[in-house]
Amino acid sequence: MDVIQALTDAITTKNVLSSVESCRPYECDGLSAYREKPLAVALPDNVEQVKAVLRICKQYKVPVITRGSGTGLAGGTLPLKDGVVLGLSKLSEIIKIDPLQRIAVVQPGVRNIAVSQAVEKYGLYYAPDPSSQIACSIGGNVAENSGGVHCLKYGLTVHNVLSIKVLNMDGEESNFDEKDDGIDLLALMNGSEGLLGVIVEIKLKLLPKPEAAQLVMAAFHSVSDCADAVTSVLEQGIIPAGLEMMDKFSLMAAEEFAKVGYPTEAEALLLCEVDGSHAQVQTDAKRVADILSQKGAYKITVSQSEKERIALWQGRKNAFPAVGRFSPDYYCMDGTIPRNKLAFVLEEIDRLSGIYGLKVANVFHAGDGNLHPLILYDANKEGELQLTEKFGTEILNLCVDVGGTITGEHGVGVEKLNSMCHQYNTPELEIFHGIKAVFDDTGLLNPGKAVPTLHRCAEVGQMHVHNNQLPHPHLERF
Amino acid sequence: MQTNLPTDLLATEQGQTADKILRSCVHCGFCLSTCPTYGILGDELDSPRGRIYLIKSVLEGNEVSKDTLDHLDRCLTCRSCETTCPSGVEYGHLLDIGREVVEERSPRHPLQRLSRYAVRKSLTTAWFLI
Amino acid sequence: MATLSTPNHAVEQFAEQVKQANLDKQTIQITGNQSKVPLRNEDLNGDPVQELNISNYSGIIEYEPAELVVTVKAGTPLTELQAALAERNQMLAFEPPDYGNSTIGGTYAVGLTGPSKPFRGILRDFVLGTKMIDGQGRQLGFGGKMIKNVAGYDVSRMLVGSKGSMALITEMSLKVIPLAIEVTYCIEMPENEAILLMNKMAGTALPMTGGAYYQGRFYYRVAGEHSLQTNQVGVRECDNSIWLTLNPFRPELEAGEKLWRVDVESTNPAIENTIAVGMGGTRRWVASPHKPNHPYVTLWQTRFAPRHNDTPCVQKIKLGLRDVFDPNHIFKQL
Repeated sequence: MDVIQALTDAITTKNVLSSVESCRPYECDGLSAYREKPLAVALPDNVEQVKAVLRICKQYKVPVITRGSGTGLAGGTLPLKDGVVLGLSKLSEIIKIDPLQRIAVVQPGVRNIAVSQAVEKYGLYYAPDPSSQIACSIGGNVAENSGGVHCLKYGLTVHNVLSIKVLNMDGEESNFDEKDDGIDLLALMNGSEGLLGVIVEIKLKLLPKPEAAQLVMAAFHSVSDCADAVTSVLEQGIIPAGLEMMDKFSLMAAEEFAKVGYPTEAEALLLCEVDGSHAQVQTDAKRVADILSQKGAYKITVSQSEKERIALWQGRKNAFPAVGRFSPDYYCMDGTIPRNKLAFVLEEIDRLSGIYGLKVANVFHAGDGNLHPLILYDANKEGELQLTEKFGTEILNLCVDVGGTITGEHGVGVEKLNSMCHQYNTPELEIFHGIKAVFDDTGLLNPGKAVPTLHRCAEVGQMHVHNNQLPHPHLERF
Repeated sequence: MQTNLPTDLLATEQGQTADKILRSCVHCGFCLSTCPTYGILGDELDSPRGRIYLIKSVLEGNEVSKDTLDHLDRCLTCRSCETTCPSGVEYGHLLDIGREVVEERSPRHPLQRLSRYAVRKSLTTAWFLI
Repeated sequence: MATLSTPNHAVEQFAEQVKQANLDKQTIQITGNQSKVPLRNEDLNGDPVQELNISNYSGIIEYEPAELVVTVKAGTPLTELQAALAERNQMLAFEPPDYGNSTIGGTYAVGLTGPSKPFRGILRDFVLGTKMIDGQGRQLGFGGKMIKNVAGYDVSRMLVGSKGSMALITEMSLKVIPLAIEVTYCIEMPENEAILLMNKMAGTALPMTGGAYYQGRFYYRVAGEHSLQTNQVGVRECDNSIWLTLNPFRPELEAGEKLWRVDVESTNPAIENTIAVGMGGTRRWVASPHKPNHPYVTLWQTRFAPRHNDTPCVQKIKLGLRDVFDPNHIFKQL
């Protein structure tokens, strides 16, 4: 008997896809530049079936790639040709909502926004809101420790998860709770990219909806003025619920889709949302507007209704795919930098863009320093993807060199493995591999992702110190 | 999204339209959220993004069977996905092309054809209203 | 106990001490100011341990208020850190309890958070990165100074609560928040009603940052501008000092009683012998000779001791991770 037969026997024919034709749409996630057809796709209906899939895969020594909605942007669920994709999209039940305790217990396939929709009637919501929140699953959010536009004030996924149930390759269940004694395994699981276990149940923290929220939109003639304004807002002791910046190109693309009246003549646009009690919001919105105009904003709009506020966000939330209107393909980077290096990094990206001959649209979670340059390219043009990847790696290395990190919220996946070598040294990577082996001694859970092998880094290292020259030699090293 | 349609297909108007639509899709998956069939079945193949991929695969000259036809048949053509798609993919248009090509390449069983014909005719006759 | 610590090149020396301990097969006890509980200077077998004291490795390394991040040496006293932040109108969101010259390193090691726990988050939520020395004396760095960072496993958050048993944390970067302007209100009522009320209120838009029940009174704390509270029957404004009474909580106990920290769901009904309810209902302090029957109970006088209630699966993971960080078991287990 082979693994496909065993899976079919265990979880029924309808839940196992094995023909080349049926497996092909699973060959990539939100990063379609990387593709690999899996051996089979298992779509279990319940947790018992998930356990069965894991045990069978262990028995047949077949790698397991856990997948939620497949909206990830780093290739974290890229299949292996001899591996099984474990799709959890059918585990989409909200198991329990306790409005008094302000928690929801959900299965991993529940969509992010579905949680907020289900608890809306209690005046509650689930805070992390990645741009793909209408489609992405909570399980995937935990695996990637997803962020969103409201992270600065309300935190990432790790800050809003109270406990999880996790399966290992034997199908054994462990519970990791915020209340646990000793080391924090719950925190470790957040952002572990499917390498340490399969998450089958999640208890989420719900927050009361603020009494009021207002969005201040400010247009700037220069990107660096806009960047300075961000720093000023935070210096004045205001923590905005969201603080987002778009450059000319991305704001034009967003306007094209959302048609909400973004000033398309601006060089940079800042969206700053304040929330809280009515009185607080009034005070803060006015303070923010004052600070921004002092810092050179030439046009300031303050949302006057909930409808207007949501409409103004629409453009930003759809900015990535909206760029798809101007280019057949884009490559989304996720570096994070200290805010005070923003102007410098944007200039460098602009310079590199000229060298590589590839256009870049910049979307920036300005509040938490998370930069999303979108490199526009055409995958149908020979060699352009390779050029784009090279450009992307240079941007990420630049982020590390100014004291930042290669990924703020998308994860390493397969895409940033080489950049991991730039960010970490051998001993740290050894620790990472050690952690992986403790949770998964078979090495079958999503192998080859998130943490590069030392061998790979040795090769990348040789590439980096080419001619004894480091990139950006004028920068102070961190 | 990268496409690799054969040149003879790209020479036709239909092929060019399909290629243009396919390339406008960035595979972000936002459409999964508003698709009624994906909501119930939870299988990528029953989502707009999955169907786009199936159609791409067929147009690129890969093997096709009743499976693909089934997944395309399940689509209600409500085009709810188009309202969610930030990239402006004309899914409905692509689906029309896809259905035509797939039906050519993986013909329906004569009985199924007969029953579909009967339904189509009977539903549109005046006596059905009585 | 041989103490070895000087501020200059201190990290190098710490690393040397750990490396030497590997050669000598010597167990090391990491200490700060020992403010929380006195630590025994012998290991579980009764063999003497060597002390590695970090209290001289103290001070702020980098602090940029506009970036909302402070990087600090592990031996820095909480009072010093908090004063530096207050000067720039900022604070530590997790309000660590100060047992008297407590260090930030010791607070990290035990993972202690104050009254704002369910509202602003717990200590590990604010850890952005750490530098450490592992059991082989290697100097490692995880995370960074970024609010968002998902490159590699989140080791710097995982080690919160590790009680010096896996690595020596030498430096950490913490997210800070603007100094909150807070007001406390109180109202007299029975415990069960207070628990219900604090849960109900935490689900409203009122910007609450504390909820507690102590000596017959329900206390709640609100930050920033908010609606008038004292127009409600029985509600009056009272002093903010209640939060310091509860954090750290050091009650006078009757003879034979022990203090138990019980972590529960916020809506858990009143527990017998409770003398204080804190953290919006998620923390109960029980004074009793006997251990309360709950899954998450810590005997407070031996708060460093593990609860030993992990499932075999989790136990195996923890033992495995210890081997990853400290293969020769140099750091003392508590």
